[in-house]
Amino acid sequence: MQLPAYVLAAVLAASLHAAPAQAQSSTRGSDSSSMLSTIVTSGIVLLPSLMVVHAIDSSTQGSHARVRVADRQTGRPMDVDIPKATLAQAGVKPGDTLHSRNDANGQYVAHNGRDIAYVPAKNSAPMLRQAPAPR
Amino acid sequence: MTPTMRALAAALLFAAAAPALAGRPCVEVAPKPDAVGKALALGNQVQAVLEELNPPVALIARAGQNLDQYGLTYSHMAFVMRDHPNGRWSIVHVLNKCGTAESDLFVEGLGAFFLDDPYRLVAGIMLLPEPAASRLPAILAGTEARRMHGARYSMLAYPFSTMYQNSNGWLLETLARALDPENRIDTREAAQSYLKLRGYQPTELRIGTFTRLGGRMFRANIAFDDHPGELRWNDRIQTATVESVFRLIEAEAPIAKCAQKGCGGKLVAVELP
Repeated sequence: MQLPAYVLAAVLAASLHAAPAQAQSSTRGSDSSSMLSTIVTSGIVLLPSLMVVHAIDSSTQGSHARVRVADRQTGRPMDVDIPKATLAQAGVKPGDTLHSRNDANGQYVAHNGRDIAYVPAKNSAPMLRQAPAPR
Repeated sequence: MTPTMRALAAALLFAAAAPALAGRPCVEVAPKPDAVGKALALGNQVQAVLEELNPPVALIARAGQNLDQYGLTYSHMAFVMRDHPNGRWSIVHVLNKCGTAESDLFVEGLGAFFLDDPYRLVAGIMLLPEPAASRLPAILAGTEARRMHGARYSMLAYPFSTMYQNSNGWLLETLARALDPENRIDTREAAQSYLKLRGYQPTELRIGTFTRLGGRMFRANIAFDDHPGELRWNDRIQTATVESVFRLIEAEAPIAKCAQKGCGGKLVAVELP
């Protein structure tokens, strides 16, 4: 049996916890991009934060990892939580550089020129919800 | 202190043992980031159209598979409801469970509806005539939505049998319940009788014996034993398709009482370039 809320809860959490500062630091637009570099030195950290637990603890069972990155344009740090499997498949390691590219509804995160994740913007994330109908 | 900006990167990746989303292929890979971005883009465009039309409920279709050889554009249909308890513009529809012989009813957002690696990024929207437009929100918002649901799924279910049901069949029977001026339909059998009475014509597909046998043997979600023998043995498989539901509404619309802009029967297509 599928758990439809599995991924979608994560998406919803993404929007709920994206701080306004992030949007300010991002240049919204089809061709805009910014550079994000990982600055974590202790490896990729499991996400134990309250905000994540609230949203996805029961459904993802801690399958995400948090990557702290710095926007090279603004220098501001940003924590990005990505499924560990995604990071493993993409071979992301501490010290690696990630790239972000915005579109009208969110942000692509790329590693070595390949998109590895899509972070929906706050107002778009609810569009990815899915749940069984009431019984 | 430097404020830490937090975002949750929803990479939509399914780990090896992770469950799959209902209605999506049950392969253990994630939807690609590009697929998520495009699904959201189309979802937002559809939302803008819906906001303009502003119906309480409408039909919405997607082109998940290439059905050109059958002369069909859309492969799957749902209701989209404006003021659903789960959120504005919620999709309510039946999805097959990972290729099994069962289905369930789901409520989801507009973006999720197009996350199914569609063949074409196109949506078909059709407004509904009265009394369906007024009655459906109460049906779709709660447990009543399940009244016309039959959990035994067959992708090509015969629409005048209750042995199996496909996604469009649930929608069709729920629609029949809402269309009945007498408001007396409360069983699947009654809904199917009403549809016959109103002249509903399912789509007829030509599917040969070997194709049918292959489908039955290798796919749990395809069966043909619900189809009348005289049709089946002549390779005539009748089923509820999106286009057949659109035709039903188009036939109803001219005689229906319209209480909203656009009323019923006009198909609005939204497509990403």
